[in-house]
Amino acid sequence: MQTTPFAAELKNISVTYGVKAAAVHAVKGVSLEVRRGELLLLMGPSGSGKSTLLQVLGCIRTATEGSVLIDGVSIDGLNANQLSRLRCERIGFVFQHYNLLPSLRAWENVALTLELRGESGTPIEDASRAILERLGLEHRADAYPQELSGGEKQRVAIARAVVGGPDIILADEPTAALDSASGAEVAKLLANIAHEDGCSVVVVTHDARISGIADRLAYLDDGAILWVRKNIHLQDKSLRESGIHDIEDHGRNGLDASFIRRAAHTG
Amino acid sequence: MVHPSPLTGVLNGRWKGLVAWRSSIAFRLAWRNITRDYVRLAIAIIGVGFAVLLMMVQSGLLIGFATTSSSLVDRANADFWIVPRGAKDVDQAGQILERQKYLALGVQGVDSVDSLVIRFAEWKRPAGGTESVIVVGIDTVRPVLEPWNFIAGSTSDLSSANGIVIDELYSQKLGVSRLGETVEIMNRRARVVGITSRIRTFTQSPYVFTSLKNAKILTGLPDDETTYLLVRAQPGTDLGQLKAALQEALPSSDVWTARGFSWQTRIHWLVTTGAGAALLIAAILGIVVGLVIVSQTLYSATVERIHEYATIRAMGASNRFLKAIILRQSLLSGTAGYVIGAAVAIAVAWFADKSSATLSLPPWLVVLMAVITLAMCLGASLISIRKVLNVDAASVFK
Repeated sequence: MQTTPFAAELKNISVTYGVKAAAVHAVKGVSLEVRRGELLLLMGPSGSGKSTLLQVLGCIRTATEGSVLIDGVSIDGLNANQLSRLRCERIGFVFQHYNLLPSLRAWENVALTLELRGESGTPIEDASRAILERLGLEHRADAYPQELSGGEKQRVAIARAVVGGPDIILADEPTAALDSASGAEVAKLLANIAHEDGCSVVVVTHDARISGIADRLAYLDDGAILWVRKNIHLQDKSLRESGIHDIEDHGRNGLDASFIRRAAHTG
Repeated sequence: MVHPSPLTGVLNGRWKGLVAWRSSIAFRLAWRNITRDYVRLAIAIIGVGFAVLLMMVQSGLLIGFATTSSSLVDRANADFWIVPRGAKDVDQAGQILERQKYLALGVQGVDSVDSLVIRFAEWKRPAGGTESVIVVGIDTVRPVLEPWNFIAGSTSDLSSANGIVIDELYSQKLGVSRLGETVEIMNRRARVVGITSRIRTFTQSPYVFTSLKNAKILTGLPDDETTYLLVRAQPGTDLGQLKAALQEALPSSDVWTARGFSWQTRIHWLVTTGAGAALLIAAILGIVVGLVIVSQTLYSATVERIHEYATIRAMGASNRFLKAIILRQSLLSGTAGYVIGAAVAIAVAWFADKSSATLSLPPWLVVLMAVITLAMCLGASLISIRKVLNVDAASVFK
């Protein structure tokens, strides 16, 4: 039963690599909520901590400080196997380079998710083929990844991520390796998953096609979230173009919210 | 819906569990991982096959030599062997006085006592040259030990004067080509009255069976001496107590149970001569070779696919799931290697059966080798498993 409106919450998350003089602060005191059924974008320059934040959200990397809640439950104290179990049941991943297993056919790559959850036999093949059919890939279900186009591979990867009915999908640059048409298709697919299936989708991207259909944008720089806002169109790369809608105050990240508003209105 | 695990499948329906296991994605992944690279697969299978072949042949030789060395003791129908003091094996002993037979017969619980002569002698080849043989002199009337696997003649033919029985394996070595042929042993004539099949000797000096009387003549043993006395106990007698009583009655000789003297003979030849150690070392070497080859091929395959394992880990695979993939790969190639290695070993044993070499592959040895191969494959997986369990799932984001 869902008792919280958030699929996931990051509370004052910091991630530091190395020690003392060699320490690198990849993420600094970030707090962020992932709402149920929304498409949330994480944007920012290279090295801003987007991927690290995604890894923390995906329970793959442990934060140096702060806490992570998945469906309102803190993951603090969970061991590696428990975190694996959590990912298996609650989180789906879509990678930039698809990361499909070349030894498995398309439907088998999808079925792997279900087998990791303890299911087996004919039902997992049926479910895998069904979801590929939904994504328009029923005729490619028996193909190996090396026989698929980039767009088809990414759709198989998305099928693999959603087949288990996760609460959250985490996508790391899902359209970066795709051509224009395939990228648009994948972007639309992710939006549908969020809006129609009620699954929260968090995407790290620079792709304006996704930003156009996202529910919220979060901008990171130097390990901190500078701002979070709704429905901002960034195709003209100007904060002024779309006007200011609901800018969320991220003063807790150490920034003055009024500064953000002033910056948005100035050239 | 969750299907039964393989173990539950065995309990609730053997084939249902096996089918579910074999059709699982993990199995498919393991199978295709190892079959995708045919060269690497071939190397692994050949490595295991060679290891299995080496282990089985060496172990088979070890067992064969052991059983061959004690064959006379094992074939005799006796409960105890009275042997010259300090005798270590059945082929090499001194002599004891025949009258000890009567001392033994006087011990309560003894049913019968029979003499047996076993001594080395010199065989003169018809074409020239000599060969060392072991003359075995038996009681032809009521034999407690007699030749086996006759292909011509019988034990009763040994009652004829100078009659001897040899084995066909050594007929060429001894220069004998037919039944009835006259030969010379220790400058005395003997006549081949019987031929057996596959009675081998550990020392490669062939056994020559003959009557007790003839054996003493051929080997120059005095009439009042013999090599061994074989004792049969009366039914229901406590053998432990009887052994002690015999030893007390015959202090100048050693009293062994048949089983004890059999093991003593085996241990003497295999340990004292170093033959056993050499065979055992070769068998262990086989295990090491198999372990290294499988370990190396599996590890290189694992490293090559480490990104895939990182992906599976990121997806939420447990340690158990990851281990199972590696173990399946190891066991699949190990099974194929075992089948091939065992088949070749059985073929080698079949050919060896036609020679004087002794290679024995009893069913329990075949099963034992399967278990050792399984353990070897599991051991070879450890390094790869460690690599996979330590994979950084975050690496898939790079």
